[in-house]
Amino acid sequence: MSERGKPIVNSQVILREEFDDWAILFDPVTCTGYGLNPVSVFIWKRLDGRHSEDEILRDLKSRCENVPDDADAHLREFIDRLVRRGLAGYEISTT
Amino acid sequence: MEILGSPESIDIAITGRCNLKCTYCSHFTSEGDVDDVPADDWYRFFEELDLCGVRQVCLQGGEPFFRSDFAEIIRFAAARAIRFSVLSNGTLITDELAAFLSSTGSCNSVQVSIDGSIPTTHDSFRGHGTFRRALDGLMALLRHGVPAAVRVTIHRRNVDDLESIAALLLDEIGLPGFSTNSASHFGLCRKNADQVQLTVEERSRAMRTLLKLKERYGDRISATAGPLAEAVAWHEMESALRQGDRRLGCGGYLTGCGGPMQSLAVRADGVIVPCLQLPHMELGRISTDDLLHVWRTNPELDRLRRRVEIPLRSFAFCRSCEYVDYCTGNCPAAAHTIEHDAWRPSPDACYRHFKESGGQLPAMPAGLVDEAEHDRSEFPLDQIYFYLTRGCNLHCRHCWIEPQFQAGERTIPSLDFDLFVSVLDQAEVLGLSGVKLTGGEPLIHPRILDILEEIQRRELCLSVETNGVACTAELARKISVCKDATVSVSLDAADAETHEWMRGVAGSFEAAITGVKHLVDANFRPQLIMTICKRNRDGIEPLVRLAESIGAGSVKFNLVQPTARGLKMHDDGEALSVEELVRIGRWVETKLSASTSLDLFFDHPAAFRPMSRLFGPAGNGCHRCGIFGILGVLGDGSFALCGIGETVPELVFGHAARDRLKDVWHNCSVLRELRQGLPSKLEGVCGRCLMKHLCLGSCVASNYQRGGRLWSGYWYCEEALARGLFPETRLNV
Repeated sequence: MSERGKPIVNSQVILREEFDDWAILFDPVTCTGYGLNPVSVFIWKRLDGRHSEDEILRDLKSRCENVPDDADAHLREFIDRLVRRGLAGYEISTT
Repeated sequence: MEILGSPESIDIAITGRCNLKCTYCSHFTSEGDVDDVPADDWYRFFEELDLCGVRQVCLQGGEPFFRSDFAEIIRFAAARAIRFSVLSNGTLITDELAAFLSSTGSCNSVQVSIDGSIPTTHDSFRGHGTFRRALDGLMALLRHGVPAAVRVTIHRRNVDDLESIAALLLDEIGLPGFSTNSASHFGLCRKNADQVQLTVEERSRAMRTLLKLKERYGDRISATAGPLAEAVAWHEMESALRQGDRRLGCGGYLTGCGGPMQSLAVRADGVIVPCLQLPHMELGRISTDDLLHVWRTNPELDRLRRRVEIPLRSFAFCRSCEYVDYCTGNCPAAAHTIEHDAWRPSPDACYRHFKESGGQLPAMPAGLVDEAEHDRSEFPLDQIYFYLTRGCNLHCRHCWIEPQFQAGERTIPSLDFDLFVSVLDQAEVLGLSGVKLTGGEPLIHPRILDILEEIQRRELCLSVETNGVACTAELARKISVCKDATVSVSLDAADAETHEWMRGVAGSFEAAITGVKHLVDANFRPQLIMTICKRNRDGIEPLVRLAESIGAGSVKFNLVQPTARGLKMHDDGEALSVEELVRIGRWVETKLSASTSLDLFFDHPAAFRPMSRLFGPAGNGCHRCGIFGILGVLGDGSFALCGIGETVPELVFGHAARDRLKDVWHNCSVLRELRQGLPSKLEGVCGRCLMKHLCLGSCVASNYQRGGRLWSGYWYCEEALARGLFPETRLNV
C-alpha cells in the first residue's frame, strides 16, 4: 500500500459535518455533494499529504472497534473513488 | 354504469345572441335559437348549483360577452365558489373586461376562436374586421393574466393556412398551445356545408399538415374532434388491427361520448339539455325543475347514457367493418344531425367511410413514432395509483383531496369496474408491476372484492392505503393473498377522542383498531400512518407504543399538506409550524427510533433527514419519488398525475373511457416535461438542494398547486429556508 504515496484532499472540496457524525463532501466546481459515514469522515480528515495509507489504517484500528480484516481493501477502494472523482489526489514529490 | 351524484360541470348558453353570424356557426337555424332568460333566472340556477356542489360551468353562446349583464352574472357565480370558463369569438374583449375576468380569481379559461393567420382567412366566414378584434381580445386576456386558449376551426378557406396559424399563435404570440376542430354539421354549418365543410381530399391534407405540426410543436397542438383527432385515432385503429388487438379502449360500443355521465347543458332560454349540440332533447327547465332530479331520474337522459351499451355490431354497416372493435361510434349529436338518430354511430368521423370516399390517412411522421418509442423504453409505467372512490366514510380535517363524505346509504360514485380492468389491460404492456389502491377510501368501493381478485389474478404487487374502518376479516384475507401486499392504516392518535377529532366521525377509532387487528390476523404487519398537527403532537410516542402492542410493522408520520382541507388547517393555525416539525422530525429520527424495534418514517424531505438514517445500517433507507413511473387514475376514470387531479384540472391528462393509456403515458405534455425537467429545472430552494436528485422536489403536485409551476419549490423547504432552518450542509452554495 505504501508505494502509492500520501493521499491529500482537493483543497477546493469542503467537508460539511452534520450532527450525527456523518458529513457531506461538497465540490463547489460541480455543485455536487457526496455523503460520508463517520469512518469516511475520519479517513478524510487524515488525507493531508502527511499520512500514508498504512498510517491511516493503523490510526483507524487504534481508534475504532471491530475493524474488519479487509479494512485495508476498503480504505484503498474509498481513496481510489475519491481520486477518480477529483476529490483527492497524491502529493507529488519535488525531489 | 356508474353516474356521479351531481353533474361535474354545466355548459351554459348564457345568451343565444351574438354580434357575429359566422357561416359555420353551430347555432342559427337550430333548436338552440331561443330567447334569453333574465339574469334572475341564472342567479337562482347558480344558487342551485352551489347547493348541488357543482363547481364548474362553461359559458357559451351565442357570444357570452354580448350580454350586458355578463359581469353581474359572473360576480354572482364567483361569490358561490363556482369556477367558470368562457367560449368566445374574442371580438368584444376589452382591457377592462379582461381585468375584470382576472380579478374574479374564478376564471379557468377564456377560449377565443382564431381561424386564420391573416384577416383574409379568418374574416372569410366570420365577417370583415373580426380577425383584428379577436386578436386584440386575445392579447388583452394575456396582458391581464387570464388563462387564454385558442380554438382553430378548420374549413375550406383556411385549410392551407394552418402552418402560418401555428406560427402566429405559438411562435409569435407564444401561446402554450391551441386546439383544433373542423366545421361540422350543426346549425348554419349544415346549411352552408358546400362552402365550409372540408372535402375528403382537403380533410386528408389537413391531417397531413396537422400531424407535421404536431411533430414540430408536440402537445402544443391538440384536438378532441376534427382532422387531427381523427388522424391520431385512426392510426391507433390501424395499429390495433395490425397487432391483432381484441379491443381498443372502449371500442366496439357507442362510447364516443362520455358527456352524459359527467355534465349537463342549459340553453339560453333555460331549458336543460344533455348537450348544447343536442338542443332538441329537452330534459327540464331551470327555475321550475330540480336539477338533481333531472340528472338522476330523467328517462331520456338515462337512455342517452345507456347508449354506451349498444354494440356497434348491431348496425349492419358496422358489422362488416374490420375496425368495429376499435371504433366508438363517434359523436351522438352528429349522429342525430346526420342520421336523425343519436342512438346510432355517426358517419361523420367513420374511418371506413372516409377511406371508401377516397380519403387517405397520411403516414404518422417519424418524429412522433420515434418519440413514443424512446419514452417507452426509458419510462416504463411501473405503478398505477387508483383513487377508487370519490367519497370517503370519514371526513378528515387534514385531507389533501377532499372527497365527499359518504355515510349511511348515501353512495358517492366510484371507479367503474370495467374501466379499472380496461386500464390494467392497457397498462400491463407498458410495464405495470404494481398498483396502489387509495381514495377516498378504497375499501368502500362496491366491487372491492372483484378488484382485489383481478389484482391477484394478474399477479400485480399491491399496496393499500386505508383508514381501516371498513377492513373486514374477509377483505384482510383477500388482500393478504395478493403479491407482495402492503397495507397502511391511518391512525392519528392512541386515543379515540383525538383520532376522531381528526377524522370527523365518532366510532372511527375503534373501527380502525379492529381493522388493524383483522390485518394482523391475516399475517400482515401493517404500517400505521399518523398525520401530525398541534392537537396530536404529544401523542406521537403513545401511538408508537400502541403500534407495538397491536402488531403493526412500522409507523409513518405525515405532515399536514397545505392543500384542500389541509390548507384550512394551516390557515386556522391547527398545523404545526415548520420549526416544530423540524424539531419533532429530528427527535423521531434519532431518539424515538432508537427506542423501538418498529421502523419509523418521518415524511419530511430528504434534506432534513439525518444521513445516518438515509444511508446508515441502522437507518430505514431513502425513498426516491417514483413520479417517473407512476400514473393516477381518479374515481371518475380520469388519468391524472395523482389524486391532485381532483382539485387541479391542469393535472388531469385524459379519461380512461375516451383516451388510450398508452397515448397519455407517452405523449402527455406534463409527464414529458417532468421527465425532461426533473430535477434539473427545479426552482427555489429545491433547485439549490444537494438532495434534489433523490427528492425530486418532494411533491410536484403540491408544488404546482402552491406555486403554479411544475418546478416550484416545496412549501416546507421554502419556509424552512426563510426561517433559517434549512440545513446549510445540504445546499449547493
